[in-house]
Amino acid sequence: MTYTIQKSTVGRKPLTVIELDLDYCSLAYGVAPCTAAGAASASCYNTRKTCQDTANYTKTTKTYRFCQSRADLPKGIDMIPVIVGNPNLTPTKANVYGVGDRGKISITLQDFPHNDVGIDPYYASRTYTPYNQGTYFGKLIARNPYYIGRTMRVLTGFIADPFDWADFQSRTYVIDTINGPDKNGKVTITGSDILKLADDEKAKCPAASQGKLTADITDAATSLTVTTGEGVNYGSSGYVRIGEEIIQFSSRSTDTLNGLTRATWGTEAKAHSTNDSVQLCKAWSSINVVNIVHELLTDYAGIAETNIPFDEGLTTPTGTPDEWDISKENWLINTNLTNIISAPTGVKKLLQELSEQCQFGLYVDIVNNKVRLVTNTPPLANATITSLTETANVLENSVSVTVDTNNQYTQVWVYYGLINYAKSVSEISNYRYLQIYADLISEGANLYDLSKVKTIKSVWFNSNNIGNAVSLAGRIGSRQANPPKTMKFSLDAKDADLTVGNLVAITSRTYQDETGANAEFQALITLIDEDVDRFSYEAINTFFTGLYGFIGPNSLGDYSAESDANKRAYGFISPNSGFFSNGEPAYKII
Amino acid sequence: MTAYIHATNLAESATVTASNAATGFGVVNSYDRRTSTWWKPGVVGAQYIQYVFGSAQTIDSFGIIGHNLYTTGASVALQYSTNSGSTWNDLIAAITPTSDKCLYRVNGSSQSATYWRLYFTNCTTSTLIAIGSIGLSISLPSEIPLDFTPPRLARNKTITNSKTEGGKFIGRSVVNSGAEFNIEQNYVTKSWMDSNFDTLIDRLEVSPFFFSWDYENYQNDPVYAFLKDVDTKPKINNPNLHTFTLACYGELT
Repeated sequence: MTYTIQKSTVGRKPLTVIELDLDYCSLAYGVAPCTAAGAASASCYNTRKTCQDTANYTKTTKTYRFCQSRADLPKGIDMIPVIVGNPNLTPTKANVYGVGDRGKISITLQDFPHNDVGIDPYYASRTYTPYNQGTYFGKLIARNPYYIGRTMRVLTGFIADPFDWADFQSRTYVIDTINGPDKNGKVTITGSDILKLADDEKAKCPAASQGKLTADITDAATSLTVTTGEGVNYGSSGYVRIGEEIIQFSSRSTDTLNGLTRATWGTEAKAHSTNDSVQLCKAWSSINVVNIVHELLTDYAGIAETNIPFDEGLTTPTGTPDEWDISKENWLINTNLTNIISAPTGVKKLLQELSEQCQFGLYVDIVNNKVRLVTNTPPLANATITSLTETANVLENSVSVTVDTNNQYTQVWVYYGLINYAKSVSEISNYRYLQIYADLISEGANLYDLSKVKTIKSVWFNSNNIGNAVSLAGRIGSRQANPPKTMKFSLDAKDADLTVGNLVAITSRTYQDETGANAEFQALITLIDEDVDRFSYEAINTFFTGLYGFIGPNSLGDYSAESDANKRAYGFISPNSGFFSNGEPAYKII
Repeated sequence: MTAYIHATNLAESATVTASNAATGFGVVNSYDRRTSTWWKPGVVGAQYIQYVFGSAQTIDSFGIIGHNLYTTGASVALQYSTNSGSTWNDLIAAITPTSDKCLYRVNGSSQSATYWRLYFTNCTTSTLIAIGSIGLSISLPSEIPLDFTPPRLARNKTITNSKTEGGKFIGRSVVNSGAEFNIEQNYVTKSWMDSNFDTLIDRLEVSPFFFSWDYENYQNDPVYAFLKDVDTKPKINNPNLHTFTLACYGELT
């Protein structure tokens, strides 16, 4: 059996299991290379906190497994049935407007007396009786205080005979907190998905530099010297920022930066004083946005390559395109960016800027532990769309549609081409160019009769990104001239093969056409909330106004003679009227 | 129709060893009161758990829960030795269970000895038990009343249905939380209460116990039970007679 089959079984027996991977020493107390020499009763607990020979502490991982209490748990499987209730999942939410919300989990467990067997390797030597002293989690936390950032896996699945781990689906989180035991003996463990590593307080780009000027320099100096010993942290060439000036250096000799080019990136050359901070900058020159995002996640947020489906980004690419490679090829191949980050900036903030300005969302696929990238584009003609109906699939009392007028925009103004990269990026006067998209028809008295402007100040687009600015304004305007709609609905586990980023078409009485008939709500899944066997979804409609298609092969015929499939897939040139003979509007370039 | 309670596992006060124990399945797991840890010999053939006491202990019964003796074709006997383990005698002869459910046996008479063991035959490498308990059983003074729900039938299950907006049944989940039942005792004499009640409750408050509600007629329907709460306040329904109820949860396998 597998998870997919078990979840469709009537009479399935759900079970949640969690595994904590905590640090553990692989050595034995007092056995070389461990040089600890205390009495056996005073041995460590093979944890860093209790180590008596830290020089030889050898870190490995020990997995602690807990599950819900069930009468039909399998025999012989090492898991302690102390999970109380169902885990509280705050689902990972994909944000089509940027970086998704963090997926979080909170699990409550019941503490209990324990004899330390399997926990304390030296329990038999203690002078106290472990069962009569303290509790399982009380002791575990005291021995293992360094749990923040360690891995927690949540496995949800079903008890079957024979028991099989293939009937379970695993989600990986990073441990945030372990609180308790409280006065009722309850312990609460919380975790977040791996994008937490990119949170602003954890990950900065660039890292803060410690170097300072050791002497005054004039506004024309061609070399500068930083604090003794700090030079190695600046690399062999690059950019530094001192005050409001960004300076390029072409070489370095120990702690002296040479070959200075002053007043770069639109800044002004100035004299600088001893002890002024010299901050190393991070610069990109016409680098594809997907590569920049990959670099921020791996080099600055510490997310492993294996968590990012980007073959080109691997240390050793395989040559087989992965998801990000395909998205880059289809939609982002011409999004090459130039920018400099001259002060330590939160990685999440940078990712939010990139995703908003280059029109994609980032979220964590918690089941496969991958960072997904979803582009804000019309669905491709060959896209897989799952059809769902109220009668056959959607659970009772679960459907609702809400209109998000806050994200309706009839005009989009994109400022780009930053003038001075060391000055405020929020000042409009610091931008050279402005690209406007205006849907005057939607603003008209016969339609919405309102004007709502979205203003974007893009620090990532310069004079080489005119097309990107046009595309940014056009896509937001095309998608959000009509207020976006979100549908919420729930499915039984048997129908829950959908993942975030999938397309669905739902027919429901809560969404009707002009005749009152149930209309098809085509949408992109942005959120999945699991509750053992009931999956609740949020999906945002994917309606771009107008027709969209790729440039087709030369073999295609006229629009009126082509198949519906080809009309959906490819763009055709319309008559000058802007409409085809069948009344449909012309294709748009976005 | 005798109801028995086996409330004290004397293994907890003995020096316990086993013939063999697979890694992670030490013999200590067989008397830690928890049914989520197991002793597994990990080798085939005859195996045992041995209990050595500082002084002779009087024992008449044993209980086993969380086992797979039926599935693995093994048998179990309760034995004692009066010569420090040189030779062994059956107090309860080998039983080959007919299921992997809770097993509880009471001998008609007790025996006093320093060396005891649970002796398993025909073990496979997969044979395991969660709890093995040896000790004295106490028979309850009154018959179980007529409206009693036997633990085997006292299902504590929750079902969750999935029904569509269109009224169609499309799925169901089942959560099995074991058994839930009450042990009622009516018309209990004052002399019995004075001699036994406090001692019994003191033990039941601390630890799970084996319970057989009708040993003669339903020998294969015992349960590994534990009190729901300790609010067991006996009432007097006659100047010399008491009534009390033990609200319990139970494990059947």
